[in-house]
Amino acid sequence: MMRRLGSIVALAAVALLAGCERYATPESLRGTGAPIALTSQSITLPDETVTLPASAEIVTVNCTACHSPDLILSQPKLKPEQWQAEVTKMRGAYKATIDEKDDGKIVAALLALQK
Amino acid sequence: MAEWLRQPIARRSALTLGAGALASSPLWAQSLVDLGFSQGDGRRPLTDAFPGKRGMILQRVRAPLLETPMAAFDGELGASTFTPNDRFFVRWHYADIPLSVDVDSFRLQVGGAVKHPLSLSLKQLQSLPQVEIAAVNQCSGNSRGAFGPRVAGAQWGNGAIGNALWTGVRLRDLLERAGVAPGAVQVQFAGLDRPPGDAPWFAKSLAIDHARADEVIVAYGMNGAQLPLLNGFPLRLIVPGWFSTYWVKALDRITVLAAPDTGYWMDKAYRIPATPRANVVPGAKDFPTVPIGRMLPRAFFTRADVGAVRGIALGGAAGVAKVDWSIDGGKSWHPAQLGPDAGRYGFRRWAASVPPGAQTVAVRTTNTNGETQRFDPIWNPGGYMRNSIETMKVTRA
Repeated sequence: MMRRLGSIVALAAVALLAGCERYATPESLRGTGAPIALTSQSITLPDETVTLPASAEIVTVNCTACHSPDLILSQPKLKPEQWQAEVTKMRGAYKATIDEKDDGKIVAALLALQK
Repeated sequence: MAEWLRQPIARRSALTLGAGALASSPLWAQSLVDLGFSQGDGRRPLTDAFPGKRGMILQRVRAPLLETPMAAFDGELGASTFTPNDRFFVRWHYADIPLSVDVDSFRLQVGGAVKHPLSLSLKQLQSLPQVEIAAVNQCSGNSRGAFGPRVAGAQWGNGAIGNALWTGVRLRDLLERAGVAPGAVQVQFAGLDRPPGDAPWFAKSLAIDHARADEVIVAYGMNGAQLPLLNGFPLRLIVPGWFSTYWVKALDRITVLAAPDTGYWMDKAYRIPATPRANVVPGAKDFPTVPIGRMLPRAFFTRADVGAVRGIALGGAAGVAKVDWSIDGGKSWHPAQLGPDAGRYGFRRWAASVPPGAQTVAVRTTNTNGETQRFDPIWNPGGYMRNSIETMKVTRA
């Protein structure tokens, strides 16, 4: 299904294509085959501007160390047991330090955010 | 025409949305889009604030979840099917993602059950035979927001998907250089992102035979340029035909395993019901599961108005054989025109010559393995693998 570029193509493309092997069937590809220049990259991510209301402080404290609250606010209306399953998953699978004693308050606050 | 295709729906200066929507809109968002979800909960900011990205639907700031608006995929039949790097969707699990990578000091480690562990610089990697492949990268949870009943998780519309020309080296060539030890069963992949606290490190594994397949590559190029940091610079695993969870970003560690990977990300997460189309009765629990894997065929609308009804299709783990459209709820189907074939794992453009009048158009892809799409929606608790037939209301002149 693949074929090495023949010497004719290699000659035509001179050094640019040397060492380049292409998929060359119907699933073949466009592109120049030119080498990809790699240069160091650095970025800065945008600041978060979404915060939860003071009434949901227990959610802010327990949930937003690991992720921003916008995803919480964009969930569909979830039942109490669905929110509880999320809290349980964060504690069990992702080792979030959420005190089980606070689960009821956290779930209630999450439900209130969706009202 | 559905609201979500009419993106953006409002400029910020003309917002008339309720307080709830505004509360979740960062100040730097330029406008809003509506993904058209069942509870009227589809409004999202559209943002240019992430480096190397523009016009992205903001699902989450930290860790970044950025969705591609469907309009970014639109084009004439003959137009390129590749998604521009600055519009390509972004999905990270953990907030600690690589924000700076030095190309001289970066090393890719190949170890585990191998005879000669490797530590390769990017220069060394680029001295290996270079290959290219067009392939669709689709999040396992793409279209999760369309699930009914709704499920928790990132509420993606249809835009957690993109197609690129990937350039790199075959994984097989790396494994051959390292010399896979007898008894190897899987190969595990991990990158530069780090979990918070004691959360499990993100790692995914492929069966050894899959890892040695022709089309699986370690890419340093995306559409002819180096990858954006947010898409996995400097190296990303490319697994054509398979969901994006295996396409490990900022890949720096390849480990050959002598026993199956029992880590969280294989054993607990990204698992689907072991049923056709990953479908179970809503609310079902305690059914057998398997790790998600191959993609299924899909067709999407990128435009549906008086001027054109057209879109993109993918075959999944096979090529697009045909795309058909229907205006009678699937009683009769008509072949859509197809754009050029740029590779079995890539997008294929389609266009439908829909007759005049008000119509509800349905569109479906059949792949070269004979797999096709159905109207009835699927359900599973993870919100994975949706591929139900898409429909769109349109009035043709």
